[in-house]
Amino acid sequence: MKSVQLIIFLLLLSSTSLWAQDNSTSEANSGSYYSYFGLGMPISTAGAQEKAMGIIGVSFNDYETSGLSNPAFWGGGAFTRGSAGMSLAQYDAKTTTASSKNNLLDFGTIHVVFPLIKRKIGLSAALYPVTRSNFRSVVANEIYPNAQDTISYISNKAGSGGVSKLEFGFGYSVNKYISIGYAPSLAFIRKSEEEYIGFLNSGYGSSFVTTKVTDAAFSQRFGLIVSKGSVFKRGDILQFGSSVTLPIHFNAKTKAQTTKTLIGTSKTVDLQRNNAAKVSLPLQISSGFTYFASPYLNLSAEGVYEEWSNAEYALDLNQQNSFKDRLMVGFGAQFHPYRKGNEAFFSKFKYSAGISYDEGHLQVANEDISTLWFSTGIGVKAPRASRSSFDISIQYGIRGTEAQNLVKEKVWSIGLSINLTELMFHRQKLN
Amino acid sequence: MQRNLKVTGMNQLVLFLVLFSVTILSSCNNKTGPVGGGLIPVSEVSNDTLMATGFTPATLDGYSGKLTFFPMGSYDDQLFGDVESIAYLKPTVIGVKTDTTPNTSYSMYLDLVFDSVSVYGDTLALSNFAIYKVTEGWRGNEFMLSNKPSFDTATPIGVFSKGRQDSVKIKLSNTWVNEYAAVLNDTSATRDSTFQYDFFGIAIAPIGGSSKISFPTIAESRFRLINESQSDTIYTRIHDWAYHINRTNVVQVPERLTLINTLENFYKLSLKEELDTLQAQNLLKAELIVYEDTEQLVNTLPANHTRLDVSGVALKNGFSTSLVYDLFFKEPESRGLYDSKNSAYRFDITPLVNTYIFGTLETDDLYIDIRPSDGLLRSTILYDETAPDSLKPKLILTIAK
Repeated sequence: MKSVQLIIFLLLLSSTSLWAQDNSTSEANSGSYYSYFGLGMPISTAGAQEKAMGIIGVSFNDYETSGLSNPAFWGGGAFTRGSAGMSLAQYDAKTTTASSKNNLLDFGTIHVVFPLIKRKIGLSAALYPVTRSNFRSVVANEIYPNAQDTISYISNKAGSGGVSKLEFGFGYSVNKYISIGYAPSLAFIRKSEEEYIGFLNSGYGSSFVTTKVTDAAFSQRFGLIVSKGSVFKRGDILQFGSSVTLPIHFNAKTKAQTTKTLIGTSKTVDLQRNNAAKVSLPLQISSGFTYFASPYLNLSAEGVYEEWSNAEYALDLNQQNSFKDRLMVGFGAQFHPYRKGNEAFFSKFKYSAGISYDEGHLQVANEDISTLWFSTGIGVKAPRASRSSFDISIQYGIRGTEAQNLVKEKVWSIGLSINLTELMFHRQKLN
Repeated sequence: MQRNLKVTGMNQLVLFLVLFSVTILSSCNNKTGPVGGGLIPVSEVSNDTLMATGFTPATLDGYSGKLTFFPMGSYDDQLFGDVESIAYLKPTVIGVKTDTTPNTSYSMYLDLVFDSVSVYGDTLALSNFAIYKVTEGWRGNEFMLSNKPSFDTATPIGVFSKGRQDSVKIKLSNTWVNEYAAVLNDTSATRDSTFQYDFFGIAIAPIGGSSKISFPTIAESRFRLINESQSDTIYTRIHDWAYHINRTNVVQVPERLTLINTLENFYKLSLKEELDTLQAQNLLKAELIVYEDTEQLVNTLPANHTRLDVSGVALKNGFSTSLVYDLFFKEPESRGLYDSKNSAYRFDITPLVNTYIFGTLETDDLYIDIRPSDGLLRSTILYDETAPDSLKPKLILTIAK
């Protein structure tokens, strides 16, 4: 298994290197067109296991993965846990008149949890995306300087980046029923838009403008887990989880730069678009129930509410006016045949499936930009005594609408989480 | 053993899934179309047309020595005035190798080779010229248009007529040959000084109501000494040359800008007022357009009369201590290309305007004049800022907002 991990690590490393050479205008780094708005699309803290169930994981954790979605999980468990994730998505976008395909590779979360006191207090450190903007739009247009002349040009606009968090927190198991958690973090914006304008007519110079939005702000979130055993039958567990993330307020600075040919030289110059404006991410409340019916089956129902109608994006009030409150609900189940001790090949995995509906946080041209997700996936447990695992999720989503000349996107997404649970940190009792 | 085999099977599955993902990543082949156009606004490219104002007429005494051509003749231009041009030439004595000492047995000729396509005035006219001995010192390197070194009109050295031929060969008087031979044969240490300060060359002036100006080229024109008895020919290059222009009766046409490439008429232009409104915008193109009054140019030219084509109009900025030097010799910031469809000169002044916005111009003043000033006499007339809107000088700015 170690050799497999090594190969996967090397593959991921090589993929990372490949991606690092990419720039945001390349086709391989384009995602949803709707990520143009504001600071980008909200990114779920769910790992591949939770995504495969169609939930965010606020009420579900098996203490063998790090459980980023709810700080209250970090006090439980006995092992040091580390997770890293990536996803690859294909966006098949259509309007009534055109279509396109974009692919997006995204390396998301890095999260580790250290148990200070087993099953009592745990510390967490994480670096993860909160929003992401990955879009590319190509538009051909014309201007008419006079009655006789037509000037044709192409605008190629691409966006990347968003808000990320560097978070440190702790979880505390108050008793066997209640756990709580708190996670302060530094939220920082690193968002970039690049626009190339090229003319088909000679005599017109091209233009490449990079607009960067930056700032950092304090953020915090709280978590709660309440669990009770033998609720409906002996041996079952009903678990309630909730997490609250307070609004984050930025004073975002924009800087637009381009290179101009001056007399005798070229110079990178600041354009007058530079300004500073209030930008915020809204209050987020996540809650849900997970019912562990038996060691082999668990069911989850979770929801997320985000108060986007109070979110600010003063850099562009048109975009801010597109914000609306967001509600997402998801239902999923997970089956663990490997716990039955069956040695059959297909009994070595855990299987997940779910469905979720995301109302979306955008209303464009009076149309809600909602997404319906169908999810499934498997988890691969490491052999023997290891608690490490890999989770792979496959999701199919339908987002948006072709009405009002908007974009309807069909999304295929493959997610991978690597969960290292005890390899480096667990003290062996026997040599 | 069985367990190990199954573990290997799982490993293979995991490897397959990871390889599958990486393969998909590696084979990303996107077809990105214009889907986002309606959803994602792009910069709006637009044209702003500003009327260019602030043309101030200016005149300078331009250089007229040691240029490619040395005009000679006179022509009464209905639009650009009565023009008389006198050429000054001085044969060299340096490097002239003779087998025998030139003396009265030698004849001396001036071979003038004219630019075959450049005629200013009546193309059919026969123009007459007289060649005189110059009696006053001059130097081509510092010769200005208004300079007119005196010459002895009492005793012409030679006379000739110029019709439609491309060259003329004029025999110069023996008196002149003797004067030249005296300097050439001087073996004393003072010969160079004598040549420099006491030998002034010849002047070629139009006589008898010439109605065209012709343009000999310095590259092919020369002096020639011939020993008639021995058929010995000595070619002597022109050491120094210049021309003087006397222009009178220039018509001041209202609502027009008159440009003459000798700097007798050019314009100072300030676009400060227009450019101050721009601030730090993403300027993609800035174009200055000035319209030529072709109707006026055509209507003031009788049949078979021609003016020289204006090959380029220049816009300059940034000057050292000598404006006239910079206007003559400094590379322009922009050359106006002629747009025959609109009878206009179009200047791409994007770098200049971007320098104004994002850098530092040496001066806010721009100068517009006809280039090059190579001895060919070029002139044109443009509509000024008081002309009808469609013909006013314009500044067209293409900006991405």
